[in-house]
Amino acid sequence: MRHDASVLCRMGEWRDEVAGVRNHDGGSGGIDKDGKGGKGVEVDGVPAILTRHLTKRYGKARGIEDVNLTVRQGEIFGFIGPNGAGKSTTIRTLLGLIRKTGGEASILGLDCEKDRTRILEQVGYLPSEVFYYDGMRARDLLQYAAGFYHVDCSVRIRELSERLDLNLDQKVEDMSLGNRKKVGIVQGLMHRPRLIILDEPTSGLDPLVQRVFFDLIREEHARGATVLFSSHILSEVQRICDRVAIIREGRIVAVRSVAEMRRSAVKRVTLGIGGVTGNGVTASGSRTVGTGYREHARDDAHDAVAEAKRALASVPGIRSLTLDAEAGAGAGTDAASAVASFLYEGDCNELIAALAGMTLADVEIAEPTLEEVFMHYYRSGDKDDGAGAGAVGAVAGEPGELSQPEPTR
Amino acid sequence: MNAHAILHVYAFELKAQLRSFLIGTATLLAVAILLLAGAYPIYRDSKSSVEQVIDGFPPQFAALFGVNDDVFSFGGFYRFSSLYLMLTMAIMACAWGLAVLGREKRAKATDFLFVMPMPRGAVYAAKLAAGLTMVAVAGLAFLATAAAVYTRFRDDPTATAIALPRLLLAASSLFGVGVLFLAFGALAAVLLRRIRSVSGIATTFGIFGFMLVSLPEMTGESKYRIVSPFTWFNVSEALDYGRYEAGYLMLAAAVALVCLAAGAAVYVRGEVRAE
Repeated sequence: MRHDASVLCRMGEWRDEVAGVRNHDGGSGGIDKDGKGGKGVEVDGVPAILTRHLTKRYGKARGIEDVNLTVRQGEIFGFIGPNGAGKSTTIRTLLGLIRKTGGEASILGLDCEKDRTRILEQVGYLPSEVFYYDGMRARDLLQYAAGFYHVDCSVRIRELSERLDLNLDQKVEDMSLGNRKKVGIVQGLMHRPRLIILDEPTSGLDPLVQRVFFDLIREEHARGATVLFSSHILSEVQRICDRVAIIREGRIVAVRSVAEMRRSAVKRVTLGIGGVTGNGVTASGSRTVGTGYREHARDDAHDAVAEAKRALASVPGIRSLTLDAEAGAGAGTDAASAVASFLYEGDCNELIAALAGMTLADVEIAEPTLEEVFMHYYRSGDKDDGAGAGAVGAVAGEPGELSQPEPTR
Repeated sequence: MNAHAILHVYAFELKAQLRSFLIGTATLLAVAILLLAGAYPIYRDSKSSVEQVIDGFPPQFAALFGVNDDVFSFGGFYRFSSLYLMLTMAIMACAWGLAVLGREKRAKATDFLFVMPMPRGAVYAAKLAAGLTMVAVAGLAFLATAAAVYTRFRDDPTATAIALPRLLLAASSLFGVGVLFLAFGALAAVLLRRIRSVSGIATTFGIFGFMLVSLPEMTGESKYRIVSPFTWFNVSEALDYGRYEAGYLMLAAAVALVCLAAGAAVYVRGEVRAE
């Protein structure tokens, strides 16, 4: 009785938290109140995963810092960042494998430390590297694992292993990495968990098996399960997730819906600049290339590039600008050109207006790849520089070389 | 709910350990039979020549191996043998503790076990219960063997001078050694970051216990018994007076409990490093 009351009481708190989070997140769509698969009355509306200022430090070494995440029931939530960003640390803290240094974490409304056992009954976990006892056949191992749950998993084990084409009679130690991973998938899904936590699940799986795996995850999702999908491969996150959190150096940099990330104002713009006049851009609109160019600029390609750079710098919303000057057939005389490439986030009319002042040989405005979007959030420091020096050529930069994080949005 | 899970882990550990248990127990029984049924009659029947050999030993050397003039009686030979029986039991029990509680660490499967819906304390209890079961069964098998060997010496007055219950009491010292070294093994399994070789570590523990026996004997200072676990179970006292020294028994129990409790605390609270 007392227990029920505390659950109810907690439910109220969580609801408030969820509402707060929604506002805080900057509104990436309304909350699916029941979750797609919000079954069971007691946890209706409770987030599948909720962390508040979750922090884990390893002595002086960085773990995760101030991680705030809300994963709603019934969604497939992506968790992306490069190796060492803190994805696994977050997951391991949630599962109680390591102890948090500070903050709070709950799964399905239950505290990750106090209610660990109750949580684990409802969670399926696939670690990034799968290790099992030596000398055991996959069948025996899965039966051992199944014995911990209060449901009969035998039918599901058979079903899953058939789908994945897994030989249950092979010894786990004799298995290839991919086959071991299959055992891990079966183990993670066999008890029909309400929350499935996948830590880099596709590594080691060939494309065919990956496809089966994604189908399985979609089926689990349709059944009502929530999925936390951690990965450093954006295309697979793009393939399956509803929302994505980007983690960088232990901190959440952004939480976005995948659709929003791809279809938002961010565009990849590539310009073939066929000679640019300073006046043309900043004052009087378009002009013929030859005359204005000769009057106002020196007679070489680099000037055109400098002009374009200056012109683009004045446009707000341009990021990650790269400029490649290329000499045309008559280099040094009248044909100088450059290719400018950048990400644009903002009103498309302003962009078009700015481009109208340039003489362009070519223009391409495309959806950025998620990789580019990711780098866009992931990289930092160039936000206010616009097309300034800090941003030029930074698209291909290594994450490790990048400077301060952007504040969480 | 936990009872079911505890039983599940308990059964798994017993099954996983069965081979090593059978080998260890067979070794213990073989050592017992070789010494008591095989070597003792030979010693007894060639007393004079053995005495000559022993006289040639430096006294410390003889003490190191537990040899003295007493080895020509059944009781005396049992006391001499018990040192080696204890060594065997110590190595075995320590290995079981290491293997059972370090199983996940060695296989890097800690993630697997610790995301199962079972409190870590219950996992520890189940594994410990499996270890204690093995020690108990091995100990009982040894008692049975000792009793069977004893019945062979009905015509030996030095054997019949010792009542069977006293012999069994003396043989029960192996339970104590077993539990103690199981606890050492369990604690080592929990504390060591990596367990490279179960048998290597267990042998080190066993040999160390064996060597420490000679410390009080060679120095003649009984105060050193406090650091010599084998001597906490005084076989002479059991054979001669049918009892153990309560103080040392309590010391043994306290040390075992502290090791097991410390092991449990670390096991329950410890962090699982990503492999």
